[in-house]
Amino acid sequence: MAGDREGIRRRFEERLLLSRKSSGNSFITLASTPGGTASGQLSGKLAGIKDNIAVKGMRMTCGSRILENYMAPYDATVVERLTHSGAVVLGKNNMDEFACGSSGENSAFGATGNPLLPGTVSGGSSSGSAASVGEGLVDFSIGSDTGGSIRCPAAYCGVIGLKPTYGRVSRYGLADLSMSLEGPAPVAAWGGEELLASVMDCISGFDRRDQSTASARKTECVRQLDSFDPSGLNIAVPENALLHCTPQVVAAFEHALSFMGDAGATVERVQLKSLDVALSAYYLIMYSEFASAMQRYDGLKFGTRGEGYTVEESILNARSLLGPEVRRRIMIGTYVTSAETRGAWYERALAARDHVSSELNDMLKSHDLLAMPTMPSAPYRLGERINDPLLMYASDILTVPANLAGVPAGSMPMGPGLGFQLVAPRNGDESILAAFRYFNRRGWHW
Amino acid sequence: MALVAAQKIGLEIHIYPRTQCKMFCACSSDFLHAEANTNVCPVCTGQPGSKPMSPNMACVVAGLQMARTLSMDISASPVSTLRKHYFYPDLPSNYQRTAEPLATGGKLQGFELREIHWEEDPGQYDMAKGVVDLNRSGVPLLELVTEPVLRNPSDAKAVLNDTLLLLQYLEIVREEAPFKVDTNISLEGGERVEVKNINSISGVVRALEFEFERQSDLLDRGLPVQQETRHFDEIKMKTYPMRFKETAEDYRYMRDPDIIPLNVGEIAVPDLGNPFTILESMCASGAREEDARAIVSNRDLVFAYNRVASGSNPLFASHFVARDLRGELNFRKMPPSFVAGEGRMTQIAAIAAAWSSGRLSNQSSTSLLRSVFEGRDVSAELRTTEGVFADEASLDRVAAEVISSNPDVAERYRKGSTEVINYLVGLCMKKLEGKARARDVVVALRRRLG
Ligand SMILES: [Zn+2]
Repeated sequence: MAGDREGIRRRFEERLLLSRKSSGNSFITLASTPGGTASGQLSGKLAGIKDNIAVKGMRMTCGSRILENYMAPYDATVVERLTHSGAVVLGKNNMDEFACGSSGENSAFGATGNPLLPGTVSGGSSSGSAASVGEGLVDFSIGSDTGGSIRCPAAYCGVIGLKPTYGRVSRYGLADLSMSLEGPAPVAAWGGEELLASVMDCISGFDRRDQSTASARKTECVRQLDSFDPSGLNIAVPENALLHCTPQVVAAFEHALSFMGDAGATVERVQLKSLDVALSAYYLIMYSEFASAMQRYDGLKFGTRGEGYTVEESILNARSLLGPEVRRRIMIGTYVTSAETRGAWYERALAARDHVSSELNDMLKSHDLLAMPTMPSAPYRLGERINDPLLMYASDILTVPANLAGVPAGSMPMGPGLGFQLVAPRNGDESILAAFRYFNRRGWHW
Repeated sequence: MALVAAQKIGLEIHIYPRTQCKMFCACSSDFLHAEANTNVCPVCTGQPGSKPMSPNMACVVAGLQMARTLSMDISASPVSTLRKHYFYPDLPSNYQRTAEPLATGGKLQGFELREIHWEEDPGQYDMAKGVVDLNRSGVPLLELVTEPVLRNPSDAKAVLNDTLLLLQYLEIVREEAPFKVDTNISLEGGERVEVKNINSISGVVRALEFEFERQSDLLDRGLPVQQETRHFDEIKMKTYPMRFKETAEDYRYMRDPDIIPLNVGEIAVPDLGNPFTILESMCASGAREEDARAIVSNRDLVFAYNRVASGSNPLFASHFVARDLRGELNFRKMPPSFVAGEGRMTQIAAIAAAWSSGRLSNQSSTSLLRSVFEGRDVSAELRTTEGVFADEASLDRVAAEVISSNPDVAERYRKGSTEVINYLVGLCMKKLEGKARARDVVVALRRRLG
């Protein structure tokens, strides 16, 4: 055992050095020691943790100046479970500030580079999580997914990412962006399905500190990993989703789809009618919950202190430490939840969400899986869309439905910077990983 | 001063239910004795990423017990916890968790109630030192709201007294800090004025009286009474405008996405009876209200009252329990549960029965009662003492002795100060070692005094 521990320490030191030298900027903070290395299922596996997830004694910036000096006083449940199983935290991953962004460019600590396609965006908001895995600095990473935040960078960086069923993985210790939509989400390299399955089995299940897990069953991803059989499966493909995609994306998607069709799956072309309202519903709900969650950063309580005498002045000064996208979202969220406009916006968004959720859940009752591209286009050049928020928001259209419905969804590579997305019914996390494993085992490559 | 017409008064009573833990975390809810910022955790200090636990069930059950006793309608749909947003240094997340009503309607002292809901207390901010103590942050509160239908300060006093009585009867209140009250008062022709954060019933009465005078004075002089929020200075006994004006701000109420709504209708609540019904029947059967209230404030005393009354009568029983029994308990700093313990109640009831029927003298009764409190079994002694009184000849002898050794007192009696006979009765009782009824001693003394 002593030899093992020495091996783990050496590997930790070696990756630490590589991470320091890397120009990818996928970490905000690196760990100084491997910590107490427990032995278990994940013994010695090196992990990146998105910087909006609390690791006791390490700073947690959420990619923001306002939390530049905030030390997390406790471990998130996922971190506690991972380290108890022997995983070793290498560092805290870079991210779009307070998870606001889909490109990895909105961090106060600089943009995250794409290791697969240098010069293009890495995707966001879990940019560093996917990039550090893609670059081979860590074995896996835990990001979070609110509206595609793990699937988008997984697609752009050519790795696999899973957004679990809402309520199956504890959110305790994950800094709030939009509480009713988000959860921790793991990412690993292509070929790392078994590791991803072990990670899911480790972090999932009931946690008394997060009520959304009240009825959660632990996943059995490892046990079911080789159980995927496409013959006889009924896979829904929303055709209207493809209208939003570039020809390059559609071609890669059809190619991946035929791989399953050839193996005996029935592919049924359907219409996901509520897709038209999904994006607006998602952004309105997210803005509203975000404005509430961000209320605590007044410059008086956490991290950086705003200068000023009165509470109001401190708030104003502290808020000036936030980036433009974060401020934009707080302003809109405050507006849509104010007494005068609530009925017009927030209440309608909640109704639209129910609409999307029931259509998607119904579709997943009559079909085993739903397949779509993850992102409508390949990663664009750094800086290309940063000043056009609407264009940036539009790229989330294929990922937000799963969040609105609380169902699991995963992304695997189907082309350079392109992701193939599978959506399963609630608690069907296992079948998504098993499907990815099937592709890999049967020699799928683009 | 022309008396200004109708007042409209409403109360918002923020009750501290007796709980072990805070509302949404497992921290101790003790904020009165613990050292500052020791009963805290990531949840109640609002650390980024912390999540609330489900609402404290002890608090919810206490609210449901109150609602049932007050004949309120318990919510048929699941009750959501809400976020109320405002900036304040003692509020770690800058939103306070409150809730939809768990029950609505109902009456107290004949006044309509609006609703009751749970919420969490903010921390305590020391403005002078600029220090925040978060021990109180997240402590459970139940807010009981009346409609603005009270007419004067004594109505408010009656409602608050009954609220306290109910809380005590149900054993769900912290005796050292039962509640804090916000009250609103408007006079005809004036706007509504709110007075916040009053910590005592007498404070509420004084604040309302002060506001009544202040507002009627303004109206008499033809000046407007503006809508505002004031605070009450308990030392100066006056209300003052709030230093930080709470503007008509928009709290942006929103369901807390982290908390699952509670189906309160499905929660089992113990039925502990209704103190107001008990109070009413005690008073109707002749008990004095003051005594009856003292008894109803504790269910062990109610139990004792029922036992004693079944062997005597309501008037005697209420007096015996409220004064003699409570007196002994208070003197020994014992909890009322003591009387309910191991066969004690049987002995106490036997003493009371013998006393009320005149088979036991005051002095013997009191001394036997004390023996019970000292932990002795008095059943045997009770049997030998009961009905054993001095005969008429010894009474007469003792009366003669006492009169002859106190000639000056006897003289004052004869001159008309009849109340001094009590002093002579006491001396006789001492000589008779309590084995006599006071009224028989009086007869013997009067015969001798002429
Ligand atoms: Zn706490």
